[in-house]
Amino acid sequence: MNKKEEKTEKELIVAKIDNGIVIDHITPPGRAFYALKALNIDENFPHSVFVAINLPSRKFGRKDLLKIRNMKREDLNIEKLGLLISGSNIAYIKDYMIIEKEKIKTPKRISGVIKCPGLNCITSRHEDVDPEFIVLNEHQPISLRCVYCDAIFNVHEHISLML
Amino acid sequence: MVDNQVLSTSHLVAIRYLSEHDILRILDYATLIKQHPSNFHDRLKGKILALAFWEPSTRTRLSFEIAMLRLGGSVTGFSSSVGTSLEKGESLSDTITMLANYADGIVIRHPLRGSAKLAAEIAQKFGVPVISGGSGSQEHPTQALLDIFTIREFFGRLTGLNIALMGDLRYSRTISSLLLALSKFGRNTINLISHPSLRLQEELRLDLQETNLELIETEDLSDVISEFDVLYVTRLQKERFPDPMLYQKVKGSFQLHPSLLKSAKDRSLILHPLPRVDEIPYEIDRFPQAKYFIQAKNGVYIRMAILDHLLGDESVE
Ligand SMILES: [Zn+2]
Repeated sequence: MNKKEEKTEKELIVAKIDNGIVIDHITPPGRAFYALKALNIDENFPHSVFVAINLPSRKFGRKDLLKIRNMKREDLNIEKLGLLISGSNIAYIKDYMIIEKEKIKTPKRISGVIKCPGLNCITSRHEDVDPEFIVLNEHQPISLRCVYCDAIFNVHEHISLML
Repeated sequence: MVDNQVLSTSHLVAIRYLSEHDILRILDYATLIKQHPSNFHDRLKGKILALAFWEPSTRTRLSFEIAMLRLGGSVTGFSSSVGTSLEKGESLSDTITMLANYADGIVIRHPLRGSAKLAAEIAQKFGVPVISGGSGSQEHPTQALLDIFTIREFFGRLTGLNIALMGDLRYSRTISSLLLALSKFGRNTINLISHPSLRLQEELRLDLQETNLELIETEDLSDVISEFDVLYVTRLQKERFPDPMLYQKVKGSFQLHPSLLKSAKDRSLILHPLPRVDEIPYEIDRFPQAKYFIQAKNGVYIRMAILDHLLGDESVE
């Protein structure tokens, strides 16, 4: 990529947001789509969302970036994001200023955020139980093991099971 | 005095959660019971065991019942879902909550994986122990314990053995629990004899990867007939095959023929979790290696040991 093209791509990055969150360094590129799903952002979401896919990054080559207006720390399930975009950074913005930063980590164990794909798993029935999983590996793509039925599966192949 | 409260868990839902130490304590305690069963006749006097069997069972249910009666306790419960509120769709959660309010211990058999673990979590709130009598295709821990009890009784050890498993290795919870149990001990050679469509579950294979078990796959019993110390046979189920013709075609290859058995070692064991259909013909019963009925009888001692551990008071004279 030549200098001019790089500059043009940089200019594409949207302006600062007043209040909300910025999730940066989402890799590999394309993962921002998973993050939107995990954040339950769809056509009914009431605030502005800026999605940047495949931006040049000095450190990662290519990355994604999300800016979401009026979203707060308490609106996020960080563990859920940790299954899909661990390693990314979140900045919390208030009045155009970063008030807090956080790196998204892969959880060790997770419950209540994704359903088990195991066909014969007790958690797939109408029972008094939250699906619970042991996270098998720290780096993407992440695999989970159901603590009930022992099934092992890949999270991003079962994104539709996210709660 | 024998201390019987040494298990690291207050339930028995899967071999997966037991340590080598837990398993040995159960085997040793069962040995003691087998030597002097009458010393244990009032260990669970006044206690009630609830049997919650969502799947039909004869052997496992009777064996638990007899074990409880031999310890001086009593038994109640239901078997299969016909004629119970389960038919009306009552959940496992509600049924276990109700039973935990009534009984001193619960044995559960259920067609879904994870059922025994969920039952244990619910009954834990009431301080009531849960024992699995089989959870779908996942595990059947008491069966595995009586299997290795029988193996240890005969060979005096649980390592350095050549063990051949034949039949349905994929959907058999007995096989899963037995392999997990053997994997807690030293080096053993495991010959897996099955049709390609009935090989071990991938998840189980992964669990066994880091263990001392050496797994060898074959489709032909004659490959290992002269080598095995233990031949463990399971039933092929027609409904596990995608096509009934295939079942008819392959079932003969996983049957034990008397002529083939002539090449087996004299000092070896043939085991089967029972019930059998025709994978072990009656003629085999006359061979000295056939020990499946002794194995089934050991099931009562093993279940007595487990019930006493989990429901009983701290020590026994
Ligand atoms: Zn599951």
